[in-house]
Amino acid sequence: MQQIEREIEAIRDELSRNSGAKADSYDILPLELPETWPQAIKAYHALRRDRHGRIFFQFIFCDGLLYSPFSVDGLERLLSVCFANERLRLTAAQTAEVVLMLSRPEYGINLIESVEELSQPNRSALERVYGLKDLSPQLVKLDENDYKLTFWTFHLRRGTLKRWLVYIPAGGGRIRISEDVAIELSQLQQEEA
Amino acid sequence: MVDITNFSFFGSVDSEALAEEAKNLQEALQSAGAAIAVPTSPQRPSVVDSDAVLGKQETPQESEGVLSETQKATQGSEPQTKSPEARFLRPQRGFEATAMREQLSKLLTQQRPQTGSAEPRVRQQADVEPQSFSRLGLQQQRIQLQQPSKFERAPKETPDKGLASQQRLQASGAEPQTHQQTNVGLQTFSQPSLQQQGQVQTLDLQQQGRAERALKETPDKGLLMSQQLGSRNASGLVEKGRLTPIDSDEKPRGQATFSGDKAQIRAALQHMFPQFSLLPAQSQSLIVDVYLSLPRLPLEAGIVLINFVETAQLGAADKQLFLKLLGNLILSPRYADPLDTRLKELVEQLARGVLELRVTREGPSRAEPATIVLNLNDAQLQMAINLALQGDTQPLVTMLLAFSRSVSESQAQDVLWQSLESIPDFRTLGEVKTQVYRAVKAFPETDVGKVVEYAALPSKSFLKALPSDRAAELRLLASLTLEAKKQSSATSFASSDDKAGSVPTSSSTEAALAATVIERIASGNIPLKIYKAADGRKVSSEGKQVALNVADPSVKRSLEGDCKLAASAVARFAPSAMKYVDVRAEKLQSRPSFRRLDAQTSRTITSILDDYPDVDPDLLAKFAESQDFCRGDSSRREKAHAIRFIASVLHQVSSDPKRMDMAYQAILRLINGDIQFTGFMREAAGLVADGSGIAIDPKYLDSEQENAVQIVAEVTQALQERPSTPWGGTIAMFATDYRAAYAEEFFRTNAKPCVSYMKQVLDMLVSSRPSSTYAQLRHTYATDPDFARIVDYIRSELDEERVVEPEELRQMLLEIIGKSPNITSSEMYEQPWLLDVASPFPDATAVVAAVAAKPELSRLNADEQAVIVNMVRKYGCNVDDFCRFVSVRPFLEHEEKKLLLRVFGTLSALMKEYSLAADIISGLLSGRTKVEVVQQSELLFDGKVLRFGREQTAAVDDWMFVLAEEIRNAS
Repeated sequence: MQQIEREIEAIRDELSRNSGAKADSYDILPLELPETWPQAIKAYHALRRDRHGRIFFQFIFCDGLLYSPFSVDGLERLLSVCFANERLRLTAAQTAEVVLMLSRPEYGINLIESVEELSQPNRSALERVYGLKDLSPQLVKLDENDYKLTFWTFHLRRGTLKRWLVYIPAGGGRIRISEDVAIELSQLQQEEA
Repeated sequence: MVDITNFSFFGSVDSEALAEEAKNLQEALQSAGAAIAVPTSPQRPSVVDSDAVLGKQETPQESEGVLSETQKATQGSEPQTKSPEARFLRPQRGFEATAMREQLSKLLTQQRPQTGSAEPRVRQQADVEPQSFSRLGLQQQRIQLQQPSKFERAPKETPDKGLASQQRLQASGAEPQTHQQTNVGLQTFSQPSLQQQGQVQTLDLQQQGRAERALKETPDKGLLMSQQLGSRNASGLVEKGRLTPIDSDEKPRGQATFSGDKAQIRAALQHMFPQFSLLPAQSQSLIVDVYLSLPRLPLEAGIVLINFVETAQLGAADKQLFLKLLGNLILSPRYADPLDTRLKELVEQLARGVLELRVTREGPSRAEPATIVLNLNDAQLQMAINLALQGDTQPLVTMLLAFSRSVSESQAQDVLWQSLESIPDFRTLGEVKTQVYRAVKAFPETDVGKVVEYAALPSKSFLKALPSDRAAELRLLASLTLEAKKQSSATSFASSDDKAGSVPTSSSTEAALAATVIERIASGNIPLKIYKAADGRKVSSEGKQVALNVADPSVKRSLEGDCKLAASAVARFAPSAMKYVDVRAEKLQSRPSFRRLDAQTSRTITSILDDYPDVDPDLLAKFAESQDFCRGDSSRREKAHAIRFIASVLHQVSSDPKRMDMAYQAILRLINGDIQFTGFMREAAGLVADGSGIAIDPKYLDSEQENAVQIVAEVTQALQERPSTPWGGTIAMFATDYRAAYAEEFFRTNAKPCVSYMKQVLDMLVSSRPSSTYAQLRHTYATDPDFARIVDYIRSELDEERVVEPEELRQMLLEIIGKSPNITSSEMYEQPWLLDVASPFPDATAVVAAVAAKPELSRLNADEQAVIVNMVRKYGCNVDDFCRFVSVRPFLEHEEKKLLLRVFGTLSALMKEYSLAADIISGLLSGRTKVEVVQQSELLFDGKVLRFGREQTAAVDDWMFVLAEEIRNAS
């Protein structure tokens, strides 16, 4: 319990230094990670009360060290540690979660692990039009130092499905993140209708 | 030949019917033995330019077509000259035929959606190149099947001979299966009957014959016609004017014919990529040479080469070298690797100009923030290039990928890049970042903020422009801004020297003009348009915009260089565009609503109305003078963007009354100041409304449909969350997003959301993923039993195929206030969430349409408008009576307007039945009758004063009956 409080305090400091708002205007909640995650990793969700929770940040603690979305190389450092350490090995989906948490994504997007998470009309439209059946995150080792992560997110209210492409130089260096495909499912369905 | 001119892949065709028809045609063709040769594009012409050959090549013998052999065999002793065209007429070899069959079966079996829109739904980031996900890819494959069709006939044949040639081919029976399948494929898309197909073929050949005859008579004319034939299917290929002669650099004009591998490749590229025709002849030749030297290079790769040749700022020789290298890289197995797409991305980035390729002969090869610099004297690089040209691309790929990796590191160390990164707008720019960086680097003294803002709040044309055009536009803007800055400082320097500077000098006039031009351009009143067309123009003023044609070499050179020529041309043409806007703005100024606006805002609205003519100008004027809008310290461009946003929403729904009602109601609240407009968002992308009002995300300006959906939902939300509303706890987030998702889907589809959609919404709202935007809701769900009960209930209802409506959710939430620590007060839940009142849905649509169309009623606040909507909806009151009533003095001076509207509505409803009600209304409308609210419980009307009790109007329905009774008694 004391550790959680210490970690929340560290996050509060980080927020007050970087977010431009008073740290006490944030609610900071520990997130319950599924058991499949490495034990050494903890996640926190901070949401700004005076903006009705629409502004939020996520933080990760790994072996007691804070990895923040405000840090220029927080994501790189965390992934380097995870790739270098068997104990902290992440699956493709978990790596995608970490990328999303520390790269400050836009409000309303959700990682998609399976096409089953989309509604039936969306699924059938995707398959019929684009032949897309598999939306699971993929982590590929390109060569000794480079990994490529591909995953999809869905914007709940806009109905936009996006594919993200992340190049991770595990031996150090900057991560390159891009959104290379966007499908407007709401528009697709409307046109079909 | 089947005419595919009118074929549209996205057109509304019935794929099942087409499949059936294709099958029938296939059978018919088989029975008729009709086999018309249609060569495929992957098979390049076999003539090899010996100068250009650097990689592995097919020998002419190897690549010689089967059909040529067949022709020889069929024609026996008939002397046959083996022309390149004849080789091009060969049928497919084994693997190609198989591929064709597969492709065809794919096309036939794949049940494509029948949509009428030509808008591709996959948005590749700033790229038009077909990708595996894009249906454009398939479209191009199909075109590829057909592309050589215009030039495949033997050039010297007359039309009759052409037909005879076809008959010979049919008689030869050379691989009829392949031909039939190909033809069926063609037939499938154009849908003519078999007979029609024959007619089209005949016409086509006759046309070709005429063209050839004309060619012999008048070479120039013939040349033009050959182009037109070749590019007939490329709609929009040439806007105006004459085309560049295709063979001008190869053959004497008088001898130009349809023949020649180069001409065929050129025609195929023109056919597939309209922009190819707009390249300078030299660039076209460079690309064609690459195809000649790399016969296996797929035609689809043409777009990469075209983009590269346009964006690369290299000398001719270097350009030629790198085009060939790009071709070799595209052919390398690494490029096609579906898992490791780094090379493909790098090649595309280089082609689109996201990363610039620069060549030097000294210094180290290196990566810069937006550039890869290669030293061609570097021995290691030379070796890699030589190997790549011979087909071994691995060393070059390794080097390029290493440089590509270093780009981001170089950005982290670059001072200018880091200073740009400190501007929030810059961080949201995506791949335009490098273009902004280059523009600012080229003109270091320019106003950086203006350039960044220009890209961050983009115009429609900027969003749609090709990357190279976008880069040119940014450079031009940087140059113009710099020029204006220089002139302004020079003028101020001169005027400080010249104390008697009361008479404006020519330099000060120029400076003022330059400042005005840049102000107008930066604010978006006068948009810049960079385009390519063979219209013979360099710079022109079209209406409100200044257009620069980069197909003109001098304009292109200027934009790639110091931009001085282009900037002075813009300065020369801008006044006429300004005049265009000013004249229209003056007309608008005569409207009462525009009188209070400053001239700049009037011009902005004028310019916007040019794009969105269906919008009521008064509404925009009202928004522009609203308190929130005026108060902000936003820039002119930002403000113009906000008005443009409102205009775009209103314009797109103007033809759809239902949507218009909802959008209008939502925007009206924004305009009336019921909801604060907080300006444009910077970093919190995607966020539109929050507790303090509504902000607009400029990134979504390109999606007008989605803007309308957003504004309806967000206004509804903002109405609940006024600036004073305290944080309602995490459950409030769940509730508002549930309601917003429901409302948006309602607006999109014009129907209540279906169960599967709301299931998806619920799953995502309480997703167990830590990265979820709503991750805290999962925490609340796990720790708060009251909230969990509500979520479980909604889920169980969805399992029973019923969607819980927002109002029902609100009722449930009211029950747990005080019990759950995660829902702090009832303030957000006090007003009903019956969305058809605040934001009317179909049952109230007609009424709201009638109410919304009345400008008099727009002065009322939301509650007062809601009363009118209810009265008209429920009791059939006359909207026009309300319009007159809200303008009379007794109403305007009365404090309890809502109450008064209710009474008036009731009287209006009773008017048909009771003459007294009609008399009272007549008195109220003429101003003869005054109104008093008293404590008595009965209605009193003495001919001059209407007195009624406050309590009587507590409930609308009760009041109606009470008043009816009073009137009956009084009558």
